[in-house]
Amino acid sequence: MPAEFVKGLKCRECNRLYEKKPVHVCEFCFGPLEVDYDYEKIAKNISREKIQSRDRTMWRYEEFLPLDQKPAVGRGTGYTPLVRAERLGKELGLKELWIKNDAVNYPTLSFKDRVVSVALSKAKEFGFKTVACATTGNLGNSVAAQAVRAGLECYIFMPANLEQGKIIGTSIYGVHVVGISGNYDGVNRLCSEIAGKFGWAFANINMRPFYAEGSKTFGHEICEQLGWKAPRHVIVPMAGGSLICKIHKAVNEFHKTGLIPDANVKIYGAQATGCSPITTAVKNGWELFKPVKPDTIARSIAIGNPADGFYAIKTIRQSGGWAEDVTDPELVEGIKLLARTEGIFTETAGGVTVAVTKKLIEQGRIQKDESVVIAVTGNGLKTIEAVTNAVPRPDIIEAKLGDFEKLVDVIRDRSKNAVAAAAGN
Amino acid sequence: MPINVRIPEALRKLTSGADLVSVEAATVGEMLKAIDAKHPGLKERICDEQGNVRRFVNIFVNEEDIRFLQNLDTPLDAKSDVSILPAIAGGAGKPAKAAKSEVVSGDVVRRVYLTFDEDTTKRPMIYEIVKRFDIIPNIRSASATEKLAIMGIEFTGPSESLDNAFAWLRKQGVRVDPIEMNVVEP
Repeated sequence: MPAEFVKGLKCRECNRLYEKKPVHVCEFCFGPLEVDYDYEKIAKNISREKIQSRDRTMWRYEEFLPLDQKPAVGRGTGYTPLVRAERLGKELGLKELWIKNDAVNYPTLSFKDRVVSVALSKAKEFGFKTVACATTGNLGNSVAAQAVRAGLECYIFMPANLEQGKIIGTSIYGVHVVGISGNYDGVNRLCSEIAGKFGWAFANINMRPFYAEGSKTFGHEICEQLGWKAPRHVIVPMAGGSLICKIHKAVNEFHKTGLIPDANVKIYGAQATGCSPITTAVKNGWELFKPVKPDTIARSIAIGNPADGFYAIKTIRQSGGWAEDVTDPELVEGIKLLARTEGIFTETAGGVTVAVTKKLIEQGRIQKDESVVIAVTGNGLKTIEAVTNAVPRPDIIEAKLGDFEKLVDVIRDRSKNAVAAAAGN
Repeated sequence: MPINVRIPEALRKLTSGADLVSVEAATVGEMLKAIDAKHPGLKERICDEQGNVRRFVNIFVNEEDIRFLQNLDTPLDAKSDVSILPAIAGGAGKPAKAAKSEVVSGDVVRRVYLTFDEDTTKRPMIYEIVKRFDIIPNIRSASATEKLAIMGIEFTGPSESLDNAFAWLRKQGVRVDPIEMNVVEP
């Protein structure tokens, strides 16, 4: 049973140990708690063959996940495609480029399905009847969708002025959606107070140590899909800073338990310039980041005071990686670049990651002949407004064959000119 | 002779809610052993592995900080008034008589991270809010660099006083966030 591999919870700051309970903060130093595993025991009980024999979902790595039983929800989540990006690789000058594509994750098309699956399954194990979260997008979609399948009552808290489109993706599941008016900080404060008072399972608050573990599977899968080895370079978008740390943890875990030969991976963080507290700290050599007020269309990674920012900075430095940020126009170009070379339509966070990868290559920071993985964490349909004005309108013709034949010539000329222009650059 | 020891709000979980514990002891060191024997776990919260009183804890005997007396060897007698208090930053060792040192029912506890920038780190903010709003800070963690400082603090006091204190801090340019930092995720 997976339960035997979890020793309990441990404070990331002072290393104090806690029982496996829905608590997320150290009583002594207020540091964040993390699940503590018995890796020696896991090493004795795990093998590549064992993992390979299981279903192609994130749960094939169940020894590294903190549930006591089989998951109550999200059994079909994960094991998303790792796509070899030959055309994009060629454009960027990379020999071996891969896209880890959570834009098609199940059930709600973002990597959040991984963390929510663990949080809600664990909430059920703890006996919670109600789950909740505070969100501006993808997290809410996932919690709502998975809560209904789990038979849990569900409250989703959002800022009252959130765009209708984002709300629909959550309200459609029939859960209780509560809009909180006022500024963002006020929404944040109220939600922590509600979490403290109501005894519900808040996905990313009291369930946080368990919730966060789901992200590791993004990294586990990359290693397995590359043929049981660590990627040399991974570029990851950063909102709260948790995913980037967990990907590193995942690679280290696989190495520790003998599944991959080494854990040499350079981790790069990507943010939008309009909300770049972490990348700014890394580029300036700071240990702590300065909280900022977000101002970017990349709403899915717009967190001005990232809870794991400090750890993200450490992870990037320790791995020998770097961090960069890109402007809003650059991220839109990133979305378009990925779409037109590899047929993958990612949301703004993915555009940021592609654009940052391009920037890092131009800075000479990424070796062009080593394996590179770009983390795509969500689907483009979720942030369609970001590209509404960036795609060309269709050519319109009357229903006459002659008109179309003329148009084909125009289109072919257009393409020739574009290729010539690109070659001339 | 029995000594009465005042227990701070933050430790009352270990004394089943009691704000006063009575023990037999001739020195502060003996007193700590005795209250720990009665309520296991108390000593560990007050002293570190070397047996020294933790930095953010003060023990007063007759309103004198034991650090200015004989520390754990400070003698106690039947008339000794002993208090264990979380540290109040900015104080110079003597607890200000007017300052809040007892928790009243109706007090709430809030845990926050305060973030200071280059300008606000220069002012003794904790001291100022204690004096202005009469609340008890218990500093749990602190990190400081040239540009920035962050403190993890547990504040105890009437709900309205805490609200006012936080509003005042924000006005001075200090960020006040719940310890989860940010719970609204994209």
